[in-house]
Amino acid sequence: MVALLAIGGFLLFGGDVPLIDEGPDAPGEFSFELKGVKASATSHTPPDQLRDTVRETGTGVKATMDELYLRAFVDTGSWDDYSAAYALFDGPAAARAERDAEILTLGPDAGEVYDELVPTSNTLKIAVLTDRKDAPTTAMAEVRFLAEARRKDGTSTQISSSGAFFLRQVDGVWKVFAYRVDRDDQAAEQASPSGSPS
Amino acid sequence: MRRRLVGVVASLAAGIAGLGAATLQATPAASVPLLQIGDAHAEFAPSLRGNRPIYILILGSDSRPGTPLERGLCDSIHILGINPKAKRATILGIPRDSYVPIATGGTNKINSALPQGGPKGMIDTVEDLTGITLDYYMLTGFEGFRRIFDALGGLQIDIPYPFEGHEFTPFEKGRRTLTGAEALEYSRTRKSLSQGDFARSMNHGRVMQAAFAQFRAEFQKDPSALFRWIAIGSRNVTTDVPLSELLTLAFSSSEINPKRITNLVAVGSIGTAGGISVVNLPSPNPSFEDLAADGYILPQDISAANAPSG
Repeated sequence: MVALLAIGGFLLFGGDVPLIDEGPDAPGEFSFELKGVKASATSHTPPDQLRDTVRETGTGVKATMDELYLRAFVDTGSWDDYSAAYALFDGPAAARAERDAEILTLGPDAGEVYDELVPTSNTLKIAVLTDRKDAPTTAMAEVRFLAEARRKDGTSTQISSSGAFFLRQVDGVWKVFAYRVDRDDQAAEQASPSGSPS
Repeated sequence: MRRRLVGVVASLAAGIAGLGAATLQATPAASVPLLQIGDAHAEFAPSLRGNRPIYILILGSDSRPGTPLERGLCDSIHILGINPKAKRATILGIPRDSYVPIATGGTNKINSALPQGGPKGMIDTVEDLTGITLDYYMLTGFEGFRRIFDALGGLQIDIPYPFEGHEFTPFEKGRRTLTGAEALEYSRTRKSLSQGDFARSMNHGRVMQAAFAQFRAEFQKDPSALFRWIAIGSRNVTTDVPLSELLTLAFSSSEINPKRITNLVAVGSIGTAGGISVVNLPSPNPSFEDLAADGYILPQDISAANAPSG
């Protein structure tokens, strides 16, 4: 359940557009901390006239990215079937995302390895490209996702996913059509001195 | 002009760099971290579909501020060929003084095709001359050109030989960062170059090569550079490239190593027509035929006459 609504925001170009940001997540929910939404205009329209468009786009893009990382990492119910995450990719990117499952999700065997995953630090920056008529055409979501995944053997792993996702609107939903993502996972702790990787 | 829609259906454009899958490696229990899961990278971007090359006519108008770009003479004429499968590209300059049949009628210097027939007249003229079917055009002028590089924070370019600009700026040999005004002067200077307009056209190609390399480097470092370059370019260039296609072109371009971009100028003999100095291009022209075949010309296939020197 969303506990709080807070307005965070700045100014367009030199700042960012305010968005409604969700507060702390209830169990089974996930929300990035939004660091800003910027516009890249291909027209000569003054930036302040694009604020509503950019704000609306940012809200839609954030919803997609929240859902993607919920289904790909946080939601234990998705660990055996990431189809809800892949559904947020469009066209050929969807098939490719399935082949990149090791990097874009917690992993195909996550349900056998982990008990739970707790997000620790997560940020999202959004850029919006508008066309000559000032309609949003493409967005870029820059993410940094850190979480602690607790393994069944008592150890835990620091999960790190960062990169850029390019999105376009498909039937009213912002979907990923291109991405560049890095994973760098590290063991965080060990349950006993004699523990070993499973 | 063939207005084909190069579908934005993606192919497997960008490969996985680094490790394709996480690796698991045990380390001594006392050390931290105990497990090195490892780093990995995944990347996917839409790419130009299929094996067909893309041809873009890149035009520079000499129209002065307040005058529409189409009214100016077209003093910079280049065909950019991109072969997405080979990941190669070629920039072929056509001398502005080339004496050719103009699509709207008569025979004249090719740079008059723009004021006579607008972009379409220029496109038709170049297509008739080269036998290359152009997919798109891009047109800019002095002010737009200057604004582009000022907005980008300058142009990083390798200058192959020193010369003095027509406004007396010394362009020293080596890697330089030019302001918009300097980049414009670099591109406009002709009289102090040993090969005149041919050398100037080569410099236009060098500016494009440099801009391409700069875009690629910035995009690899920061993906948001893609939007910045497209926005700045769109505000200062007249083009018929749809925005969605521009994105695909940009993604595809980012995959081409700048060293695989050939820059050359079609050469011809100097002559006169009606008392004015003109360039007579050979027909058939091997450069046009080579570029038409697959969208690029390999450096070893450039004839000595076309080799970049000045």
